[in-house]
Amino acid sequence: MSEQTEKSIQILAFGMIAEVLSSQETSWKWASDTDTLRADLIGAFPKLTNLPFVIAVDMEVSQGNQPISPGATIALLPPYSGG
Amino acid sequence: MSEKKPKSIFVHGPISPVFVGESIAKHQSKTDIGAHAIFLGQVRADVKDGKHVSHIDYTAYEEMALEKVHLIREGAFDRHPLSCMHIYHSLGSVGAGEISLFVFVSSPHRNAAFTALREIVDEIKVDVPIWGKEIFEDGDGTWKVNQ
Repeated sequence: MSEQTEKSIQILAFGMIAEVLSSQETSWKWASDTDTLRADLIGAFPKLTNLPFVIAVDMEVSQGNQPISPGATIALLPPYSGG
Repeated sequence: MSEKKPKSIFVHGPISPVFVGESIAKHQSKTDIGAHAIFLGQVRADVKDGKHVSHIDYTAYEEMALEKVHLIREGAFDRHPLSCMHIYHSLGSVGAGEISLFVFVSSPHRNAAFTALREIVDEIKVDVPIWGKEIFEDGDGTWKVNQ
């Protein structure tokens, strides 16, 4: 039963970004790289425009534009504030 | 990624002073140790726009956080002659005056313990995906920004 017409990725969101998305975990249409994904997300959630966040692909924070393979786990990470 | 799943560092709610004391006591049998250095992060009742912070709600990207802490731990053991190291961080609600971070480093001599402790705490702040939301007495909240 795994007929997929469109490739998707799993997106995890944290902190203030999760509040904007109203969700900590969401399925999203696949984008080929992190710049494209960022633009897609900002298109869908204009509030993200002025919020600082980095995109982690499979738990590695992307430096510059980074390719995304279908099935990758994406995380949207605002500035950390542990401690 | 390491073959062994890193040990969790997370504690639900505040870290109790009793737990800190018991952690110290557990090291009495390790007689190669000459110095313990401990950092305890405590929640401040900061005042913003006339309102006091009553507690901080902590969340984390737990899987990534454990990987990052594992790397911080390995780096510290590579650079310094340490006997052991323990790191705990709260998740969920921690009230003002309560402890949310406990880093405990032990070494034969003090210099390595002091230096490693400072590096580890700094690296936790920069590299570990944990977020704190400061909640005021009236229930409003604001996302904490680390200095």
